[in-house]
Order: sequence, then structure tokens, then C-alpha cells
Amino acid sequence: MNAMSVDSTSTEQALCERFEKCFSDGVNADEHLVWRGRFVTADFVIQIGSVPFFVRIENGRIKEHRKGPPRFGSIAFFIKGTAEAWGAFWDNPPKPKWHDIFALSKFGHMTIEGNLHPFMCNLQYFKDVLAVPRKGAE
Amino acid sequence: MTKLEPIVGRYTTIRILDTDCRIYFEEAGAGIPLVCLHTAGADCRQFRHMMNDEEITQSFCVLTFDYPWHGKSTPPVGYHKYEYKLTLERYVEMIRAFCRALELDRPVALGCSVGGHVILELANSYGKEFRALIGMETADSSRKYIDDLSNMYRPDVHGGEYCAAHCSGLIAPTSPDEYRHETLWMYMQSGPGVHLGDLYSYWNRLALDGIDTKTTPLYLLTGEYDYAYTPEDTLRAAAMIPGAKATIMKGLGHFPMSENPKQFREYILPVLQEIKQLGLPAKATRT
Repeated sequence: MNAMSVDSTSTEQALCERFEKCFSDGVNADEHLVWRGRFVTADFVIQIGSVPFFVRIENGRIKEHRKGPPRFGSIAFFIKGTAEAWGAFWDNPPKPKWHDIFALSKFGHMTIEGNLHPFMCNLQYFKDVLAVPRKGAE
Repeated sequence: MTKLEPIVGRYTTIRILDTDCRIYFEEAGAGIPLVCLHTAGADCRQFRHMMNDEEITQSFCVLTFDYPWHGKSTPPVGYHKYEYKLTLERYVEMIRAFCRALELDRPVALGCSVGGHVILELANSYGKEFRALIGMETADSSRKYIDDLSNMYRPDVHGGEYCAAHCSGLIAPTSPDEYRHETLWMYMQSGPGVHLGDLYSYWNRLALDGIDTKTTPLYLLTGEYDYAYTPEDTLRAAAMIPGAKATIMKGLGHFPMSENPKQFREYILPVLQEIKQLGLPAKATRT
């Protein structure tokens, strides 16, 4: 899908639907990915454009992910990207400069903020978790 | 008997500024000496594909070494008493000391990432000592993409795993999985704090005004997926150096020679062919 060719509202909606549809199942079905995240237990937020999703991971497995802001919970960190950023990041293959979260951050399309210690301790795990919807582009 | 690769590895001790350093180096082929400089936090295994490529080794003696602290090169005596920081001066002198120790006759030097960065400094300050220079994934400067690099070296983060994960995004997503993970494995094996120490001078702006490409041709090659030093950074730097030849490599990232050797040779072979035709025979080639 070329995210830039669709208007921004429908792009955001389509990306949110894709994320909701494949994220938990995609992560939890990948046994090796779950094993690599066996020391990860964290609550965090993924924001696609203007839409936040609360995500709870326990021992590498997605226990909960739902649309909407966190409800008075302690959130470790926030990963906020424009709809264009997520759309391009989940293209398969992604284009240069849109293919990695650090690249998206460098060029101003994504911010990663909060207590980043659990994120950085398990950086490859989180990179791979965030890229799971890319498989849905195939 | 099993088939042996042509790469031969040996050890020697070279003096870098005021310090004796026992280093491991490898060579393959015969002809014009071609010294290959690995990236930060990695080692000379990154060049194994070039060293196994007969199209290269039939005309070039490819040499590469693990910098002190890296791979099979040990850190100098007393390393445990101070923090490792690779200054540009020490980096330059390390390369010159290696070339002197092996009595290389105006070698070609090729470096990637921090190795590419130091190529520009060699071109600017010591260009006459080299037959040609090839800087990969480099420019005079780039904008940092992360403020806090301390995760590379702190006790509560696994430095090897972090450094590999950090670098994974610099590899093109289209590079073969086999070579992506081999490249990352080298990062996982790096000593504590070595990757961070290698980056000490990496973000410093380099001078380019002393570069004379008529004496020493300069080639700049950057992968389109590199966002540390972007294609735009490389093209901007090349535009400031009269005679520099810049190429943006499709389908490659920050580690072209190890992440996708087949794709990389499409770009490096024409450069080496051009260097071969410079008409500057080596006085004494290594065999």
C-alpha cells in the first residue's frame, strides 16, 4: 500500500484496522519472538497518527492491546508516529529512510519517549514486534 | 581434503603513537595492496567476501586487520585503567603504522563507516601515501540520530545485543537474512564499550580542503538505506571535493561488503578496475 497516495484520515483508519487485526496474533504466534522477549513485561502506548493504542506485554506475549489512551496506568514509554510513518514502515519492503524506527525518529516522523530502559534493554525484540504488521502487507 | 579459503591470518605487533599493539591481520590475493578498514565495534571478518572474490584477488592483495580492542587483536597493556576512546589522530596513525609495518607501496585504502570517515581524514592529510582512497558510508559530517549512546556501554544493558539491534536498522531490509545476521553477530561479539569508544570522533566535522584527487583519486560509495551518513550527506561532501566520485548504491545499507556481497560487487568492481588502470604499478607487490 502506498500510504502517501490516500488521504490522511482514511490512511490512519486503515492502518489502525490493520494494526488491530494482526498485532497481538502476529506477535504471539511467533514462538521465537515471544521467547526472545521472555524478560519483557511492560505497559506502553503505540500511537498511529492521532490514535493511541494501549499495549500490555507480559513475558514477551501481548496480553492486551486496545484502542484508546491508558486508563490511569503507569506507562513506561510512548511510541508516536505519523500515519505516513507507520504506513511506510509497514510497506514491504519499506523505502529508504522509512524502514527503521531510528530513521523515522531522525527525520522527524516518530518520537519514542518516556522511560526507555526496558525498550533499550530489549531493542531488537521491540523493533521486531513493531514490524509485525509489515507481514500483513504481503 | 576440504577446500581451504585463500585467506591467511597472522599476528604482528605495531607501534601506534606511543603504544605497542599486537594485532591480527588477514590477507588474500596478490598485486596492488588494498587495505580494508572495518566499521565501529566490528572486526575484519566483514571483508571475507571480497577476500574470497577471485576477480578482486587476481589483481589486488587484500589486507585487513582487527583494530586494537577488536576481534582477535588484544587491547594494549593497561587497557583496564582507562576508558577506550578512538581519537582521529590515533586512528590515522594506526592505519599508517600498519602500512609501514607491512612495507606496503602506496596502498589503496578502503574503509566503511568510521573506516570511511578516517578515509576522508587520510585523503585530507596524508593523501600522497595512498594510490587511491575509497570511503564508504561517509561524508564530512552528518546529523546525529540519537542523543544518548550510553546504552552501548552500561552494566544494566547487554552491550552486544544493544549494539547489534542498534545497527540492524542500518542494514537494507532487502539484504539476505543470512548475511544480515552474520553482520550483526560481529556486533554481538564486540568487547564492552568498544563500539561506543570507536564513535568518539565519528560525529566530528572533517576538513576537506586539503584533498587532492589528482594525486590520489577518491571514491565515495554510500548505500541508499544508510541513515547514519545518508546519500545526501555523501553527495554534499563529494560536491565540495573537486574530482571526487560519488556513487549511491541501490539495495544496500551501512555495511555493503558484509550485508549483501553480491550486490556490493556490482559497485566495487568498477572502482577497483578503474584504480587498476591508473598506470601506477606497485614497486613491490605482496604475494
